[in-house]
Amino acid sequence: MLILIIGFTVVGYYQAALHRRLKTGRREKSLAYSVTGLAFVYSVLCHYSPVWVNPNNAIRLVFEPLQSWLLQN
Amino acid sequence: MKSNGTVTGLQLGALTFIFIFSTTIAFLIGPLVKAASFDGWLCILIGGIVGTAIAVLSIRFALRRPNSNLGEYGRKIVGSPVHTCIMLLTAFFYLHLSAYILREFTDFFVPSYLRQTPTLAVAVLVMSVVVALTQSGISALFRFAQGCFIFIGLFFLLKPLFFVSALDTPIWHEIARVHNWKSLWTQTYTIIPWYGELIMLCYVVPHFTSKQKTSRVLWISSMLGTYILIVEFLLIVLFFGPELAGTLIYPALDLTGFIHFGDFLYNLDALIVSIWFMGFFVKLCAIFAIGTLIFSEALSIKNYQPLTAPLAAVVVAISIVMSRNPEELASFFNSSWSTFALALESLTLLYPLVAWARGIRA
Repeated sequence: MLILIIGFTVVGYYQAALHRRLKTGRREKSLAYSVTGLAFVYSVLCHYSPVWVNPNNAIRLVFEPLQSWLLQN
Repeated sequence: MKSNGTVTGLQLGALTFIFIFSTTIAFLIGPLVKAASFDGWLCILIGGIVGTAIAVLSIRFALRRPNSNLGEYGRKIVGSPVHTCIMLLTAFFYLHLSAYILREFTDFFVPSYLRQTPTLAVAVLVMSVVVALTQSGISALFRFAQGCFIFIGLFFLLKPLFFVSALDTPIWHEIARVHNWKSLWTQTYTIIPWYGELIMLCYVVPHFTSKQKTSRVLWISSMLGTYILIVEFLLIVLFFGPELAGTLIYPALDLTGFIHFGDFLYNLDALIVSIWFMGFFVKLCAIFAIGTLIFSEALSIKNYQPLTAPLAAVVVAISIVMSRNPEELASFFNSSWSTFALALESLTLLYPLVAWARGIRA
């Protein structure tokens, strides 16, 4: 968890530097920081309950029956 | 993201060529030999032609407006909500694909060369470099591909020369006929989306300088990549035989273990893996960069650079949680990835379809 917090602090600082360099607007800044926030939440969830946030489970649920039917397995 | 049109035909061809075979050669040939045996080369050929045709179809539509970005004008064709949904789903597909490739790489590289190194550390280091190249822009990525193309292309063109003695075998008679139509269909279906990934190029069309030649360049470079794949497949089957090759996890790597320069250079593994790594890196960068670009266009963000680092973190997180072991990853790939990939790649085809139905001209 500590590594995660340190990692995202670095990402935040880097992002702030990029915003200054690119002179981005307020809307873009807020959207970019929201994405970083969501990425942090997702990473925390990955740390505590990896099975729940694994996108492959959802993909399998939707596409496995379809592929099985298409390939007649 | 407005472009200056700096990507030449050679750079586009180099990226496509590397894109086609870099990961396929390492991760697909083993399962292909196991499932399709002698028919595998035909699966690669048919899959390559169909997949490239799907990609070229979308790119030809995007080329109708060569100076505009499909990610921007697409909303005028299908409407804003549908366009945003398509873009977000496509961005998810490419970011998920980045995570999938990264996971395949760590599953291969960590046990072979970096034993006892945490997978997370390797994934973070690789993605940090990917972020650095993505920050430099799409044109820089194509230039990088052009630089790598000479090394990678030359090596894989010369590689068969080391195995000339293995080519004199009666196995050729088996390769010349189809053994199992069902496995031919199943494996071809699996390969089509690997080529269909090239659809991503229609989101960077304004960067190309020679727009008229784009389709031709794509076909030539894609078929060159297919040629390398087929040659590699045949070398593996002829050298190891289909049964032994089917049991190997990375037959292409095992094959390189038999390349020697007499007594001068006896083990070329490290050199060959380094050359292959360049190709892998180009593909990962291209997929991640275009995934990030599409995501930023979906959110109407002009500069995609500030999004690269957080999205790279998401890619690392997905790559860690997507499976507990390589077997689970292979099971996911065999059971559902191809249909998932084809479905999301086909979303881009909605633009030409809706444009045709609504009578929208370029």
